[in-house]
Amino acid sequence: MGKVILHRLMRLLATLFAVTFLTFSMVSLLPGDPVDVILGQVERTPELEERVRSDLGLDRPFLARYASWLGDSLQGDLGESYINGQEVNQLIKDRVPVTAQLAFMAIVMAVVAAVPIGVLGAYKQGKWQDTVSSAAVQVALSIPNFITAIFFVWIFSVKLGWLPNSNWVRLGDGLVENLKRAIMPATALALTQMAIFSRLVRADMIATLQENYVLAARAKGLSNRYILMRHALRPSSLSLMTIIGINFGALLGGTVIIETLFAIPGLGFGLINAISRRDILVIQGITVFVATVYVVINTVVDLLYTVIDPRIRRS
Amino acid sequence: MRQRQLFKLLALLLVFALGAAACGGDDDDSSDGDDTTAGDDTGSDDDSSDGDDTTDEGDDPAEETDDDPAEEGDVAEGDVDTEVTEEDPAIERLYGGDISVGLEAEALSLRPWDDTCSAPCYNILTTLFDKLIEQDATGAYQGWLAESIAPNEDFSVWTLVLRDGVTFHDGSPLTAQTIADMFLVQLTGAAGGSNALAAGITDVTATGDLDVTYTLSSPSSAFPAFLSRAPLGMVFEPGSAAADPAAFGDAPIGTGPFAIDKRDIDNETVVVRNDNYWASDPDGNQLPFVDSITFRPIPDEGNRLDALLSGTVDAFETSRQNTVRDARANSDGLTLYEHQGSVASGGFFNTLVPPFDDVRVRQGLNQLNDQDTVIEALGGTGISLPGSQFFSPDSPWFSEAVAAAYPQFDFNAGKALLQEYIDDPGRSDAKTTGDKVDVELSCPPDPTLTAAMQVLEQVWSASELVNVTLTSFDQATHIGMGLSDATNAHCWRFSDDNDPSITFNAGFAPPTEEIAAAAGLPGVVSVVNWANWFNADAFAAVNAATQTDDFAERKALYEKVGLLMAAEAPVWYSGYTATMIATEDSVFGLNSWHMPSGDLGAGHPNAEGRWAEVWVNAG
Repeated sequence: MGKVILHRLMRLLATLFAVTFLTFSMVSLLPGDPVDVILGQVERTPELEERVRSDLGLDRPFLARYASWLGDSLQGDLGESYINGQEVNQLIKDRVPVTAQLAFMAIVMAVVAAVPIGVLGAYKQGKWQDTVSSAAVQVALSIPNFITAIFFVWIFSVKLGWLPNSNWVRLGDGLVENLKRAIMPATALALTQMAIFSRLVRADMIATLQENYVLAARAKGLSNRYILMRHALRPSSLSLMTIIGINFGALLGGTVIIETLFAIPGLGFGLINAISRRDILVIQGITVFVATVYVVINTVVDLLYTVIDPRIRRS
Repeated sequence: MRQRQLFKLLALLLVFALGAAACGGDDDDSSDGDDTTAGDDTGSDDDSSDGDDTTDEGDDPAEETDDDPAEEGDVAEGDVDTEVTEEDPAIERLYGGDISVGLEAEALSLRPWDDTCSAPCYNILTTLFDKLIEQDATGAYQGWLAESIAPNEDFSVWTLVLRDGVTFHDGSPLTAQTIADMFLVQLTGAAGGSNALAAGITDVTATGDLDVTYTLSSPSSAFPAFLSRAPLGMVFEPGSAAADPAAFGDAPIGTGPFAIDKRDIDNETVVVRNDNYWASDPDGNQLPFVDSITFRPIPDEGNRLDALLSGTVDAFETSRQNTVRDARANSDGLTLYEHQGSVASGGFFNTLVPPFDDVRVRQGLNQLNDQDTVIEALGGTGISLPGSQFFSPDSPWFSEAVAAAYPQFDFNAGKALLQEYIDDPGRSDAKTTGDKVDVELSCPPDPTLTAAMQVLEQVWSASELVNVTLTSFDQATHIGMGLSDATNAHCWRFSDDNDPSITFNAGFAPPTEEIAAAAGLPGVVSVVNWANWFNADAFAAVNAATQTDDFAERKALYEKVGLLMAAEAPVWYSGYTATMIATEDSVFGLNSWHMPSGDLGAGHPNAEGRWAEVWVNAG
């Protein structure tokens, strides 16, 4: 087990190194200059441009800047925003709980809806329940989440006035107000996830229900509910666990549109603003954080396999 | 059986939700004020500013003009209503209430000396920081924190007298030394440094407790304009700003009507009433009226409007024509404060590169510019007027002569000019006679801008004389490419409602050392001469306009520049940018804030609201 963890850790470090280098390279290669954002469209002299560039450390060669950033990062200092001087560590710390909450709510809602739909589809394969649920899942999968979100806003904010469509309230500032603001974006995110999960559960369950041990359980006269829940669902949940892990990590960096639409101060909103402002260290910091979480979650999921499936542990 | 019941329940819920949505009205949950009337509770017994304490009128350059600027430009029809008017006196001014305002973007930071500022940023900053000078409803400059400002004979030295008794949010007094110390901080900032350069300030000295002297490198009759904006005009506490600039951005200290309460970047900036604010309205009510304002960045245009319609926010601002249109269509229960200022949309040609170094090409493309259709694509039909110069018809600087001279849409005339260039064996782009002209048109990736550029592409291509390539880059890249002359035609916005010299002086200076030397102006080079168009007569006129404070004389000089531009066509225009602040109809006063002299202020130019005199009256 220790060897596995060590192996995973090495892979994690290599991945992060590649991610940071590639991100730094790509952002540096992008056209556009943070100095232009800072100075705007007003008169400037070459001396002033150079002074701003020097203040930001942008006058140094790319590799020197990367090495300096990497050295500071390894000591836990991700630098400061070029634009407003905010510490990137603090920026991430402020934004992670917001995006994590949305991602968590979306995943929980998706799983809660997807498992029964998937199980039902598998159990009633080919019957009308399967047809209806598959059609609904297809619709959910086909509609981009921001379209769903706009539809929600129109119904629940503009027409009914039930839910605010912006004005985020942090969890610590009031649970009810927070949930009123989180429910629409989280549901919009959840619908697509639910569609993916339920298709996966259905497919895995159909395969599992063909297994000999399930047939044996049926032959023993065990009830369908017992067989589905105790014998079929658990082995069928391996793929689901994997995809939950991957999608949770992806959601941390993939809520850009939804966060921007609802003006939610999470990682995605921060990332899009940083990109438009060429705020390189913020882009770098958020990217590294998301990549780290993504890789760590996948590592944890891999390790959890051994807990869920004794066959993997024994092998 | 249970499953059927579940489906029925779900179906019922869906039908109910859709039915309720279809029948439901807009939420009228507006901001509520308390019952305290303005006369009951001033919140402070500081009466140092009572409206009588006005600028030294004899020394105010704006007051010395021969013509009344307010009467000059009132010719716009069929566009937005930019008129600034007094609020109905019958509507009771109430103290209290909280307002939430949706902004199109977050303010980069709250450090006036360091960061460039646009409409969202100005909405926040003007609650926290007072300016030394403000523009009134006529466009003239009057003292705000300055009681007076006066030049020497040649406008190279300006003496400013500060208002007495003003304190910062931390209780420290505003003195002349504060302004001198503030200037040192301003020089360290990116925006402050560049604006000090543009204004030509070489020294700021405290010459008395409240007397400040600004020395300029060259005379400028329009210098007060620089003190009416960030980064030079907004007054901040320089000690804390210098000590920890980053921390100051989270906890700014100014003299403004509100003080910072909470700064949560990209979520909310909350400002609360400054009980010791120095200013009162003309009736003697101490300002501000409302208890707090929460500014929320909501970048999505549709969602920001929805936030107002749903009561999630009490006000919002926009500079998009299609949002103005949509707000007009949903204006029940709202008050719309519209403004069409001198921000002209369109684009510029890089006149240093072929084929745009030839005026026939520039004129030809201008004549092929179907402005009405471009404005329609921008969503501005009935909102934006077609542009012809840097000043809108509502501006005192607007010139009918320039409007008449600007090349109008004339497809055949435009084709004829382009054909003449194409058939010219000496054509500047060195292509074979008869070959089409190549135009690379670059714009930020905004959907409405893209639609507008597609109209231009179609009409230019329809001439069968032009190959058009559209490129799209984000805003930062777009500006950078304009600076580096990387493409040859850029869509752009020009000018503003400030004094013309702010835009014109740098905008018409020689773009390169070679051109400067050839014009006998070595070292006078500007990187923000976007079109790289240099005309010695225009530059001389621009400079002459800062040597006099006579309005008519100055206007004639800027008109001369406008006529030269119309003739040489370094830029093209679509329409003027209409902006809007919309509020719940229980929110009053945005259109009618006052100068210390009692005159009406500039209203809400370019969606920049002044919130000190705003009150809430839900009754």
